[in-house]
Amino acid sequence: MPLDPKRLARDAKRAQAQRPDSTIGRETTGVTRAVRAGLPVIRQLRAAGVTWAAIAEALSAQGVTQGEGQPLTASRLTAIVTQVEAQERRKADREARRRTRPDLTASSEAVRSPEPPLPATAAPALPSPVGSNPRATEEEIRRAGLHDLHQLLKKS
Amino acid sequence: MPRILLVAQDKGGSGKTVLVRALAECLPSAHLIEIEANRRLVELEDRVSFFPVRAERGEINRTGGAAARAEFDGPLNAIAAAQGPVIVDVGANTAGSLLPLIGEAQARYARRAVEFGLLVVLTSEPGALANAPVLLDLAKPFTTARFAVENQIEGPVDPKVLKAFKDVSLSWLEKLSLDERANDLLQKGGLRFIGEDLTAAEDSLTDRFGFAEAGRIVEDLTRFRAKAMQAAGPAARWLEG
Repeated sequence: MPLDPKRLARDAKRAQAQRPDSTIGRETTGVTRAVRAGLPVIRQLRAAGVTWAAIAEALSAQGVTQGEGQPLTASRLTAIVTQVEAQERRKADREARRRTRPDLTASSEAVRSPEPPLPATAAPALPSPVGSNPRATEEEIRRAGLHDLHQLLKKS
Repeated sequence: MPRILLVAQDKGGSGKTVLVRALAECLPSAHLIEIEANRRLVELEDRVSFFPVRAERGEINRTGGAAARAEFDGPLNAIAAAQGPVIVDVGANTAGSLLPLIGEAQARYARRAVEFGLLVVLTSEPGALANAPVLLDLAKPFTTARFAVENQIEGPVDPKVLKAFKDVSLSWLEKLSLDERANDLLQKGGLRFIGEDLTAAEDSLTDRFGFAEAGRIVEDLTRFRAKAMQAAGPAARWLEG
């Protein structure tokens, strides 16, 4: 069946524009969206020693609240940050798996928009095998190396 | 009176972090501040407060440059809050911006009885050689002690050049040839494990690499740690007060 490419593009754009009306595949609250957008700053603040409670209070002051206008709590904030970071990791893993697929040509890879490398998390990340994550940060690589070293030094 | 030792060299690959680790070994009670693009001193765990640089270009543009001015607020605040000896690992391409800010705040730091020292790492690499006197001059007005360590990793520095550092306490770290596997372990674990775990792990290393190589690994790493601590010794003694 022949496809009309112009119509396909038009319909796809329209469907995309209507997508936020669906509850599937979108963020259900503005809090997650705000935290996602502010994540680099939040990470910097954490690295500078600012507490989760202080960051939550500052976000609330800018209207990022939970429930019916209740101030954002530290525990809610950390839960959202953990969720967003997990999403980023899954996305990076999917991209990495995709790059290893033999059925994708070089040209189809070339049009893929580049993903920025994942920044280091504020809390020490558990070491992971670097070989399985081609986008590991410098800190992740160092932690994985240190983990290897400790394994090696363990009494056999 | 908290003493703060700034360890600096704006040219990367000079061995600055090795000396920071050696200082940390000399003074197990000292806290560390790491100002780097990425966290490197991971083996030192909660002894280290990490402050990432640089401010992101988008953030600088968005805030009309304010983000750049504020980029060192975190480490400057941490220094002001110091209660005891602190080793500051100033990342490459950072000291030239940070030292003048500390100089500007010197009077305020002095009211908190904070005292500064500077250790620069010197190699025969032209960039590092040229940067060392610049940093020493920048720090002269606000430091009570200045140190230079000649890291001979690129070969010895010309003695004529070293004569210019006459009012600086000078020590050196000779180039050591390490067993390849020992060097790999050093890259992974820094110096901490050498003092804490290596001797007890000799049997494991023997099982893994054989008697002869395990011996070389232990010997080379132990020697390297001792030499690095020796090079850092004058600055460590000042920091201890």
